[in-house]
Amino acid sequence: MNQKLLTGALSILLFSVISFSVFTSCNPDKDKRGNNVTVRLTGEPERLNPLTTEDINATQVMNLIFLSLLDFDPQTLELVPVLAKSRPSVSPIDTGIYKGGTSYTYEIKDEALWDNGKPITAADYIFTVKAILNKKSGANNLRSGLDFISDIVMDSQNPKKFTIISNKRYILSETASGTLPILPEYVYDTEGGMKSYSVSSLVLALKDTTQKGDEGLTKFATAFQSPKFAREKEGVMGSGAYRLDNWVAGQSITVMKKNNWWGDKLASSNPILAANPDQIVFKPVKENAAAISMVQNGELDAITAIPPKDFNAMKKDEKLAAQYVFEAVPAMSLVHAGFNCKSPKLNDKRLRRAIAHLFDVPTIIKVLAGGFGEPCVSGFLPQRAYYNKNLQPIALNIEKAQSLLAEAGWKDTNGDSTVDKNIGGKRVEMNIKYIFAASNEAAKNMGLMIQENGKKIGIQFTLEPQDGKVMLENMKKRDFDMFVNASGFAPSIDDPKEMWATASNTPDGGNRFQFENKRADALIEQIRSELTDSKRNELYKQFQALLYDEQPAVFLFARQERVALNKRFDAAIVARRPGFVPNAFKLKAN
Amino acid sequence: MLKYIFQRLLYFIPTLLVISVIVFGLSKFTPGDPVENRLQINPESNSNAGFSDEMYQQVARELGVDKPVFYCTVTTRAFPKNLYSILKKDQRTATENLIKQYGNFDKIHIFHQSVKDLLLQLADADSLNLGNNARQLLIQEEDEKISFILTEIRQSGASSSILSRKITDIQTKYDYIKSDATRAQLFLPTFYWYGFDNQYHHWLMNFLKGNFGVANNGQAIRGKIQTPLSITLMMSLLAIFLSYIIAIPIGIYTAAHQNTRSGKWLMHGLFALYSLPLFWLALMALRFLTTPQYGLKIFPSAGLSDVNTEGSFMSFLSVNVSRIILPILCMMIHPTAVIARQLQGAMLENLQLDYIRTARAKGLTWSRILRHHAFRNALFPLITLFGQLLPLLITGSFMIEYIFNIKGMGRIAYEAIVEQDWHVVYIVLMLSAVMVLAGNLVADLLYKWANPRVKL
Repeated sequence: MNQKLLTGALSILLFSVISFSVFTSCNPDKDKRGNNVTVRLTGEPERLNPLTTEDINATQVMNLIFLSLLDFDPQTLELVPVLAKSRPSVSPIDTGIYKGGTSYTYEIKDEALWDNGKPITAADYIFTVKAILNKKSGANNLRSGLDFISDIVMDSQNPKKFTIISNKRYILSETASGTLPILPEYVYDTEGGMKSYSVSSLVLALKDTTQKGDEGLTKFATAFQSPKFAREKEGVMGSGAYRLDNWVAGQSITVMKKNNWWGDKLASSNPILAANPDQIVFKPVKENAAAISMVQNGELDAITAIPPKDFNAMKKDEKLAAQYVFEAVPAMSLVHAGFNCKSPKLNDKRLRRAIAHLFDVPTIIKVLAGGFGEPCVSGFLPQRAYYNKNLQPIALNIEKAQSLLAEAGWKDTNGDSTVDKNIGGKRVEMNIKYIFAASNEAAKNMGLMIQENGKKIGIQFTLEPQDGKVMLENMKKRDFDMFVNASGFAPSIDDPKEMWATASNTPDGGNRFQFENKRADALIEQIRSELTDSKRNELYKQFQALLYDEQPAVFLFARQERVALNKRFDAAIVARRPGFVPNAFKLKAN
Repeated sequence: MLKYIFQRLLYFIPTLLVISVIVFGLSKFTPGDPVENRLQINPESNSNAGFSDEMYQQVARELGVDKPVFYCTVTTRAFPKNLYSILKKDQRTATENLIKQYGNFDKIHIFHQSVKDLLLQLADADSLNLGNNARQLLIQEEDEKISFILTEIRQSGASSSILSRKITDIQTKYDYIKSDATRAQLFLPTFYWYGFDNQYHHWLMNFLKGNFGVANNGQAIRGKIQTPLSITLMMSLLAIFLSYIIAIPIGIYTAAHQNTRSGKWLMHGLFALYSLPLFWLALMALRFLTTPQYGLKIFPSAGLSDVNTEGSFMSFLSVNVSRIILPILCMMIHPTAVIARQLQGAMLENLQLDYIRTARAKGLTWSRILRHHAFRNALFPLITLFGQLLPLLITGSFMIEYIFNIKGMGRIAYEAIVEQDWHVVYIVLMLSAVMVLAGNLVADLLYKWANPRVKL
């Protein structure tokens, strides 16, 4: 009997496995997918509120749901009008209370409509700005980017026209004001809670630190941060071509093309307004093996963040190569080894240059980054128009490093095979504390490389892998000589202040290099207020030359992202992250 | 019986309290600043590093970290009672470490105050360098570093006489710390009582009320774990149930056919599967059985269906049945092997006992002896195992959920650990602690059911 039981159980199991597998393996979805696009996300967004989240995965979805006045052209990364008729007219203000500031006048396209058929107006833009300026709304990052706004004035004749008054002349004012995702006031503020506040009063309230929270603002902020506006299709609504259709936690987020999308007429001249697929499905798949098996099944149309090894293997696979385009695109991120410029061992730029000569950048890119990197010597992304191409890469050169060391007065006086120098009556040995995140394998291997090279000229490197949070604490305390890190960049032009100005050399500031240079500070201020592109680009180049010369960090390479796109679509690889524009995917004729 | 359950539940309270203290204590010793986590400061971004002190304080208050940590603290006389009121974690840590060196909080406090005084005086851009150095003084603890910065500050030169007086003042105050060190204080124990308005109390009360707090990204943890919890519960229940269904016949069969070839092969086969690492098995299954590359595309790709099932077990099952076969099979392998092996052992033990011989002598059929006599007495290890498997319901199988792209509790916990989102990790820990306790209770009750001689 027990034998029967056993065989019975096993056969039931076997039967069920086989029957389900037959049932599923024909994959009925595959033929029904039509022009729907499926995109892999590397993680699931927590919310789709464009004012409170900047997560890259959420951004990919939100880009389809929300539009802004201007946006970056995916290919050239230049600002182009989207909801606005054109880029704003900019004029300096020379009189009145806002003297010394700048005004930006925008006009919204006549075609631009909300889902309820009403036109998008200046009032919606102003509502969005007010929501950001509301201290409690959770839009902290956007708020600090809008600190130049003093007021917004609506045009008395034209409800689609308005002027932003900026209290200064600042290069990023146009970007910051133009690329805000505009929210429909009728959806996000049904009770009109923000109506009684003006932009200028909110700006004043921000400066007042003594004031207790305002009840009206708190009430709006609480509603604004509720799940309705973060995850539900009744709440997540914008002026984009797509609306949120379905979100299955952990599995997929589906957006659907709106009926009678007004942008269809304009899409030919503006790819941001294009809406070719009827439906775009985002699938959060963290584990790479799972994502790759989905690619092998042809279930994904666009995928990023493929590990270099798998990427190369897939590229070589004939079957897959016939199905997918494989391409590397810039990841807008720069890997650098920063110095503590105030450390007595590194406060001489010759020493920093000597260490720079210990890095073999081509090998680092080839071996440690799997070939997916672009050399970069200036602290700015190589694809920038103002990237200074005259700066020569700093090559691996042990002799040069040695002579620089000697020039700076470092010699091995006590025969311990480490160079030293008498500083303030004390002998200091050249022992460099090199810290990096323990999870960063490439940083460790880079450390081993310079450790090996350093030994040859008497520089001792102590490698200290640290937990990410501990590393951050040590960076704040400047408890390091060198650290390896990557900096992410936005598509907008760069404001070097946060990373390189003396004012940012605070525990919480971004200048962790302790780089304090009067000329750099002056250049940064000039760059920030120069509104003419050509003049500013010249300043950028001067600034890069200065950084190159001062060497507060060894700039290694710009990271590249690996993208695979399904060939059943006509889809372009673009410079903007994540490297493709799913709404512009066009199903091929066959 | 009811009295017993009630008693056991009473025992849970102190056990859970101890666990909660440990879990909460751990959360205080993990690196990183909860406020900065909340502000989402990460080392890669250079744009949002500049948050204001006011923002920091606001978030600190929201998170409740402006309160004492626990009801009481046992420390040394050198430490003041209200050290927690230094809100910024880096400054508090630096103060603590200075106290550990010199034992004179009052002097250290005056030193830090003098630095803050100087910072208030600095407004113009010329003194940026001075300000940066001064700010560093607030978070440094090593004498060498502080002296170095003080030298820098002196050398940078003050632009006015007020400033230079302030700078001298800072130097003097620092010298006082060293000259007036009261290290003896560090050896005198003391006890401070803070009352109920403390972080632990609020955390525990909120946990009991089902308010699990907020994850680093601002999402309520309760909302975050709701769906994953239901998915994990459904999958684990299925996996445990199926493991028993399959393992019990195998266990009985192998015990009855211990010396036959089929019995031996079955046991060896199970052991071979058991000794394979789970993650490897899962990865292999994923690679070979879900893609057409090797001609064996039997199962759909990893992940659950896109259809929203809203937590109903039957609809979840009907929509996802083909998608959960592989993960559940992987989840079942280890428990099945263990259950079968345990059952076989217990059966063999029982089969040698006198009562079995009696039963055989009585003329009962072999299968009846196996099912009604030996099996019932061999149930104990199965019950013990059930108690141990129950916590799986909460934590799921980290690896399986990760590899098969299923967002269950295991993956939530895993991702929270990777992202160092400790609030989430501790809630998962607490929930699994509750499950372990519940598992033990259920196991005890099952013992009683299986063998009425067991006294509860």
